[in-house]
Amino acid sequence: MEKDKKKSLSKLADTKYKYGFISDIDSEDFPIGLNEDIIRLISKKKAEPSWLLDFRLKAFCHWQKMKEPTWAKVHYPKIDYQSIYYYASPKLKNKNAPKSLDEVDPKLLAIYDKLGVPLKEREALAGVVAVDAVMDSVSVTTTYKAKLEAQGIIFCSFSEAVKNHPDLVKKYLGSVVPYTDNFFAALNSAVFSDGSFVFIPKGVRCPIELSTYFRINAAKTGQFERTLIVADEGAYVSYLEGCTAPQRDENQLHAAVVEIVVLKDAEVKYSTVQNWFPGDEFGKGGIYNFVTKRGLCAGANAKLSWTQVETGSAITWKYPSCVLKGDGSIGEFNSVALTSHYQQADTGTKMIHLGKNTRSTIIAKSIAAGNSSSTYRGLVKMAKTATAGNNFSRCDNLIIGNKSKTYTVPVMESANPSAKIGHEATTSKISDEQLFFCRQRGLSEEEAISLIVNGFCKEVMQKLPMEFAMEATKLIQVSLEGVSIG
Amino acid sequence: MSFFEIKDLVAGTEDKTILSGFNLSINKGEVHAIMGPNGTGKSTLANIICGNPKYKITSGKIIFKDKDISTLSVDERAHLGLFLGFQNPVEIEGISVITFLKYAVNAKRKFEGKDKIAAPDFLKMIKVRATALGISDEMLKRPLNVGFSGGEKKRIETLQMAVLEPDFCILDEMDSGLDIDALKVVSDGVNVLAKDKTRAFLLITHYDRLLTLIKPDFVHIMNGGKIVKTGDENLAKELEAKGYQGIING
Amino acid sequence: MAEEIRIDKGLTKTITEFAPHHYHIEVEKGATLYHYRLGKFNPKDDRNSELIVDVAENAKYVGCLVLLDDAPANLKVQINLKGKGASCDSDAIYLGSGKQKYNLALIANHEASDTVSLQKAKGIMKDASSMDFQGLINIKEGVAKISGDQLHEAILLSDTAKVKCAPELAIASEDVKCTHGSSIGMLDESALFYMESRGISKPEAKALLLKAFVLEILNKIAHEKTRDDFTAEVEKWLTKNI
Repeated sequence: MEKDKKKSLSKLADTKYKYGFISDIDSEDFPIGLNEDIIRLISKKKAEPSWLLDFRLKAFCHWQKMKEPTWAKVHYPKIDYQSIYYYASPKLKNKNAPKSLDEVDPKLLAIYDKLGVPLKEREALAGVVAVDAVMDSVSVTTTYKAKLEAQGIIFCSFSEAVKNHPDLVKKYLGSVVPYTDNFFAALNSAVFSDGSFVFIPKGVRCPIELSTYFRINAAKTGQFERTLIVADEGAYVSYLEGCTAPQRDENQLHAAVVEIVVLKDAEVKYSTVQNWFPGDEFGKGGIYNFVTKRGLCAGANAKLSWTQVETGSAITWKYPSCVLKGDGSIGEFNSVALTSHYQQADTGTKMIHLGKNTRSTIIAKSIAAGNSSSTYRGLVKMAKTATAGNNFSRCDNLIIGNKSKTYTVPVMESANPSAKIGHEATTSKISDEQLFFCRQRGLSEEEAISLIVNGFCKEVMQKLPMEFAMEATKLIQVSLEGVSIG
Repeated sequence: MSFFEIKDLVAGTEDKTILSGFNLSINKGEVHAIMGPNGTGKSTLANIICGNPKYKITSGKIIFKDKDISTLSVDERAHLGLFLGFQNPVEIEGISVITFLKYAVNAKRKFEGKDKIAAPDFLKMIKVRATALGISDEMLKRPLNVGFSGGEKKRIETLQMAVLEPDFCILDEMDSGLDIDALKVVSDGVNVLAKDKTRAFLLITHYDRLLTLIKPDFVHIMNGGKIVKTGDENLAKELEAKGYQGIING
Repeated sequence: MAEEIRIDKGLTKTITEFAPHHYHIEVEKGATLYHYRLGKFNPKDDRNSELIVDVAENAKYVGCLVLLDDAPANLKVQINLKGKGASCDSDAIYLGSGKQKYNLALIANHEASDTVSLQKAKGIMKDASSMDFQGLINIKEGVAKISGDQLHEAILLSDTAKVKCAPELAIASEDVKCTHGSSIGMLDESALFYMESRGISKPEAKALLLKAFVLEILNKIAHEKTRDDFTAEVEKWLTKNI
């Protein structure tokens, strides 16, 4: 019986990546490599104001002085930063951005169809999602702009925001993740291509889920998107980020920066379903995903929640964080990380409590199968000023098979006697009793494992907006098994 | 056709032989009871019949519907029509009772070459059976067995049996930890399924109480890994009076 | 300069000492060691203490470490469960006042199958004292049937006290059941209120609850005289500082 179990388990870790296709859109590529000239070229190409070029150059200068971090429990072959293209935009019929969908290259639209990106506007308001689609490094089109504009909501590409709302961008860019923050943030600040910009004005509740899709397409093109979300006092927005990537042989670098500013009484929900290509059975050719995501709860009672389902990328290194500065502000982190084959994930969160009566909750579930290794790294810090702060974290690890490894490193620091930090963690395998029970009820071993894993992740999945939750559940199934019982 | 037969079964864990030459024959429509002191292998027997990978068969055969099932996997045996009512049903977080039932029903339908069950048909089917067993809508939505009392767990086991309509049901100490009301509900559930005599039941129990509610055709006393005495329902009454030692030695 | 101690096969031994220093202890097959240490800083010793215990097949290590203000500052307790069936139950209490700085690491390495580790640390910190606590349950590849539990609880009594806690799990095997729990905070308000409602003054209630907090570990000490001695020292500290 043990032999059977081992056989099916190895079959389970066999991921059939259904999004693995390569699109042959011509990329308008830059010369390869990175130096000050390339940065000036990027800035010129995007017709950026001088203050932004300055920002890039300062960041580049700083980056050159920094050393790549090595403390994460991930191992990867050294990245040659000079052999990457830092800019790629798909050739468009017009030099300017298309004014309607008719002007967009049909090949591009076909790709979006394959990706399931709904570019066509839908009549019904219920379940409507505005999509800001990013193809490699340049935004192609934005849907629902008009409807949102009527409420004063700005949802556009970062490049557009620089042109049309420079004051807003200037005010908040780098205010949450300064380019001095870390190696990859500095790199991103120097060469970022595009991303999303969201601004919700005072008291406005954004009526639809905002979402963006992007893919890395051109070989050797690292993607450096930059996203900035600002929720003014009393505002609300739910933002979804999901991405797929094609099958590639060379590893592809992805170093994004996401900054979120939440002002007094505002709320931002940021959900991610990450579906990067994880490398084949032998660990070759996946995505390197090094991301800095941070939110600042600047005002009283500000609320920020991060929800993520990670199942891809060869190497993941990301710690969405909340800085709880405003009194009464709330931070939440909900995560499911699934690794298989030879994936390595080092992920977690940081909750920094500065204000009074701040609260944070962390629910992190990880599933490690195959030869993968999954690390959860958390930091909860109660500063001296964090009177009556409260944190609770729960990390559960599920190990499938004998070759995977998990590490849990939750660090708690408190310098305020009235603050409470609580943490629980468990690590276990799928119990033989549970497996036997499910199988006795007629489920195959794969079905049983899928069911149990689904139950294991339920708490986190419930926090995702509905259509995302369905995609995420499917994603888990695809990553775990060949056959789905849906 | 041999409905269910165990021939000279020697089996146990890696370290220990628990069943030493076990024999049993059950026909369609019959209700058998197995009683015996703790540690004599009754639960092990139930688990081995259903294919729990924790146990190994050294020699002997288990025949079900003319097939030697000792090499079949757990779910393959379930698809053939085998059901185990667990003594301590396991908890599964995050999966509601009703969701789990749907998975099990669809797994059976897949084996039978049928399409997945339509949602309204499924709900109707569940409601009817759940109501008969005193299971509320609220309980159906709770995560499977998590925080359930012993009685609630056994009701859910009985519901699963009623929904899956298996051909051979092995109920491992279904009566343990139940109060009179719960016991009656569970027994009624069994009797409903037993009525048309198309199934067989194997009840593992310590107490005569269950057997006054579900009438057994045969009662076996098990000791030392095999059956040492067989009788009818009167044997159970005799056991109540004399105790195991009285029966085994006397 | 580590002192070498061997507990011979099948024997049971109790060691009680008042100045933890460097040790390498081997608990041989089937043996049991009860090891009680109360921290008292001797100016002749350095401020570090490292204890490494190798626990052999079916052997057991039961330890309790009590750190008071005059204890060494950097302590490491590392238990290597080397043989099948080895187990350890390792506790620590730390009490800090003034400018006392502690650095404590409690490590359990599971290098064989069927091993069990239990580690519990509780601390009370006041004034400007600080604790940097690292806990680790490390499970090697290829071992099975492992049970590891780690619990850390700390109470801060002043605005200037600090606690940092990093309980780590490093797991390279499937057949494990591991839990760890950690909390940093203050005394349970509802318990305080309950006691006050029964007529007990707030300071007295505080003292009682803090005593109960650490007594849970002290009461586990099997050796009666040691238990009494250690409890007396802890009560002295509590009386002086609360």
